[in-house]
Amino acid sequence: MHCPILLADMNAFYASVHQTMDPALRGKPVIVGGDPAKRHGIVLAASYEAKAFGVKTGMAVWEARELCPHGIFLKPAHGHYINFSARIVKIMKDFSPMVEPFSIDEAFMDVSGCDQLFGSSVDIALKLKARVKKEVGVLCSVGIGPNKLLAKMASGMQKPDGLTLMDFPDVPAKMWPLPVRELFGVGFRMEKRLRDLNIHTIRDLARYPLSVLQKRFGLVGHVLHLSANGIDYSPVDPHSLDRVKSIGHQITLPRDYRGYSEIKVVILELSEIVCRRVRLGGYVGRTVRLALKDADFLWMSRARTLAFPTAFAGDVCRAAVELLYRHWPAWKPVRMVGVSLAGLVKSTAEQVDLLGEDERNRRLYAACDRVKDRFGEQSLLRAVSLTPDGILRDRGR
Amino acid sequence: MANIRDYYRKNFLYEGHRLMLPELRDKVVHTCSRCKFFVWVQGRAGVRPGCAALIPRYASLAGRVPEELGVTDVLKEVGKDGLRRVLAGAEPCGQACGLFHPRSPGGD
Repeated sequence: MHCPILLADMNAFYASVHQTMDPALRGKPVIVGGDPAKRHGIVLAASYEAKAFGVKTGMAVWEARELCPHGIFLKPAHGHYINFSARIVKIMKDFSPMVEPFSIDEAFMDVSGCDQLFGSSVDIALKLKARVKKEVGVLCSVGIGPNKLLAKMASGMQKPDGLTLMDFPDVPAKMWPLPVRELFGVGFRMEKRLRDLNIHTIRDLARYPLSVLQKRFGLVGHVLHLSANGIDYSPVDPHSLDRVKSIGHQITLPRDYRGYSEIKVVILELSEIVCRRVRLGGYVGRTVRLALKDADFLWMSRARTLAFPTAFAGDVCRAAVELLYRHWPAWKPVRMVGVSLAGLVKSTAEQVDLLGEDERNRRLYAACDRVKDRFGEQSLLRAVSLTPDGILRDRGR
Repeated sequence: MANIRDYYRKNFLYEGHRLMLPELRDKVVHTCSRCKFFVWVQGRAGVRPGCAALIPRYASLAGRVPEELGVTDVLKEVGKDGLRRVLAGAEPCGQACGLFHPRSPGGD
């Protein structure tokens, strides 16, 4: 059977990047996590040396410290991870233009028709692994399959530095004995619902009557059934990132904010960040979404569509604050705030307003953008960022 | 979502699970020539593309990156080896590298 789809998955990516940049960290238990003082106290990645002590991604940093007291705890350096990731994608594009980045440490590649140039998909996977190790310095596991789903499932079977090929005949032996939660697309909520149907393994799901799954879950039930049988018709889409649907930013606050006046400061700052990104992409958007999380980790997310598309922080902030007043009681503490702008379109033409207010705004934001382009994002801040409730000033330090 | 064919054709299974940082998206989507550090280096015999991010003066954002740089200016800044690196660093149609910074829509 023809297996042209590869998934390259970097092993303990964040920790590996630190170990590559600083040879003194190699072979040592490296744990990348947020700053508990700023309430970002989660382990984002752990090297395999740290994993040997039981440290896992997503665990609290204090818990990791207990398991691995002599571990080297580092703060995340997202700029470096992005640079490493871009370099890896660039290497993949040397083999085939059909590359679809899936996350910062994973990308799919379709090598159909590349065998005359680079050999079989296994040869390509070996060459890719060698080049990533030599040129970037991190290890990766590669899964190979006839479709994206099997490539994804295969990549997780052998870590670190693995190479696994999973074809259709391998599905009953390699995939079916796994718990249903391991199937791509099954989250913890779906796992619970499947457990109610007495489905515990991927085999159970594959053998479950399709009609019942469809009746219960609709189209998703059909997809789950096909996935459990190793069937996936999704294409590797190299243009998947060209389409931007929304741009947003969210932040966990250093303390619980109470009262509208405190939260409004953060909303304005987030609106600035979001609109700057929207303008950099040459977009305008209409749908403003505000997401808030309270001290008990309960979510609220509400959206409002504006009468006109915009890329100005003032407009987005006004709409988000309106959503805040309408849907969030003033007494309720806020742990996390997110603002996003959706319904994006290219800002090729715009409605001219009679009073010239938009034109003034456009010129003002264009001037601010020029300053930031030249001197960096921290060069120009809103005055509210200098108040005790502001978050952007501290982030720049 | 009309039917299962559309579900797969539109890549819904993966779109819903994709985690992408905007900065990484920029680097992956754009080509080198869309970067604010992309410059044309004017020599005696011709013009070649170059990467101003490898010139400390521009990398630190202390100076505005011009559209075009004279080869003598580059030599003064980074020397002969530096010039070689600057010229080798740009690949107009290639994927943007880790130093990519989007050019602002209105130009710098």
